[in-house]
Amino acid sequence: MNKKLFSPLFICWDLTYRCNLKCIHCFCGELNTEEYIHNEQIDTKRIIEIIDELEKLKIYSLEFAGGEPLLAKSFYEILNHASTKNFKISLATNGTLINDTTVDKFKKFGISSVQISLDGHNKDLHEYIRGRNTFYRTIEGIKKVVDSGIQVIIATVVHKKNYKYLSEIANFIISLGVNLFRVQFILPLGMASHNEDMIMPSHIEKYEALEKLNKNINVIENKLKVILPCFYNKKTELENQNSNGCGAGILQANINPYGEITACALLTNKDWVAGNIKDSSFEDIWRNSEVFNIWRNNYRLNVECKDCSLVDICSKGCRAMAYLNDEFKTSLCLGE
Amino acid sequence: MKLNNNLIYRFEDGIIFDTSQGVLHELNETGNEILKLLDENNSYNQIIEILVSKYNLSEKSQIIEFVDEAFESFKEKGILHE
Repeated sequence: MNKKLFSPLFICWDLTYRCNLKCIHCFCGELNTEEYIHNEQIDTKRIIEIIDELEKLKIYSLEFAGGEPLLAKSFYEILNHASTKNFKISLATNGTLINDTTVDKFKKFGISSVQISLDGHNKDLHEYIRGRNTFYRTIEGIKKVVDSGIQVIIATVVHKKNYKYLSEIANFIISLGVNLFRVQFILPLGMASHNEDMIMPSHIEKYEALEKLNKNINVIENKLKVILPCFYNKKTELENQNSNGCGAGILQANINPYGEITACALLTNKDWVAGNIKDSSFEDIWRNSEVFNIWRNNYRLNVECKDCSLVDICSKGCRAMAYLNDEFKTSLCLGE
Repeated sequence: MKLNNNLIYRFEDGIIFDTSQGVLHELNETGNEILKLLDENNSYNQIIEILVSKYNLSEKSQIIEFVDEAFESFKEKGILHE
């Protein structure tokens, strides 16, 4: 679907690239330095104005992410303002900074779901990419949010060490009282581009991971709902299916800490910046940006995809991956 | 009949997004108009009356046919529930 919507349904706002962790796969980890952070985050007044505009544009869902959004300047002021609007508000965090006070604020400001990164059912697997002394702090954070009654989504990055254990991770997630499991694949961006050999599973290993997950009893019995990457497919036979493929620039948009709007958070290259909310309205950028028009017009749908019998299933895959790889296909291409 | 809770309906775009499945439904003009009336809590009979009045039709049967077809299609797609 390449229709240009009146406005996106979903906005992900990376408020800062500042983070207390130094994950070896992080797409924005290289920007987590004082030098870069000094130049980021637009002023709070402008953020508030844009939130007002997003409400007028009938945005359905606003997710705050990063970096670590809890470290963003004026985070709770921004959250407070967003909570007065008619959005579904969510948060993506590493979970290590969550305590009783933060959870009270999440509740007060009406956060409907919190996505927390957890990459293993034990310390070794999680800390392999997240760093030392992160596992138990993350678990504590998860437990606090679960206890508060706010919906928790566990997001797991499939890496070289944990790909064999997705089923065990799924069981562990259930034991924590969580029933939503987002599976993510690493893109060769930022820190990941320097550590590919250490962290990037092969094409076959990714399939192996998903096949094991598919056989997990909690998944089969729908006690755990698996959320696959937006471009994934019916071939896994997992119930979660998405017939629209990548919604970047069509259903969703991303705002980064510099105020730049892109189709998705992973399109960090300047070529794909559609505009900046410092000097334009969101509406103007969404509707009139030439970058978005190019992006929406089947960017890099090559002959191979056009002729592929599976194109209606995968919907051309992850476009950011296609761009990064410069090979048109995603790393999970199902084509022959 | 009501829209299912897991749906996002956007009249301006004539779309419904199913958040549980990640599926987007595009509505035709008639479907969009009927769904908007339903979303505004009008009953089946009220929707028919509003459309008859709006289009100034003396013959109701054509409107009823459109509405029935639309409702059937919405139900098939899992958009509505009783």
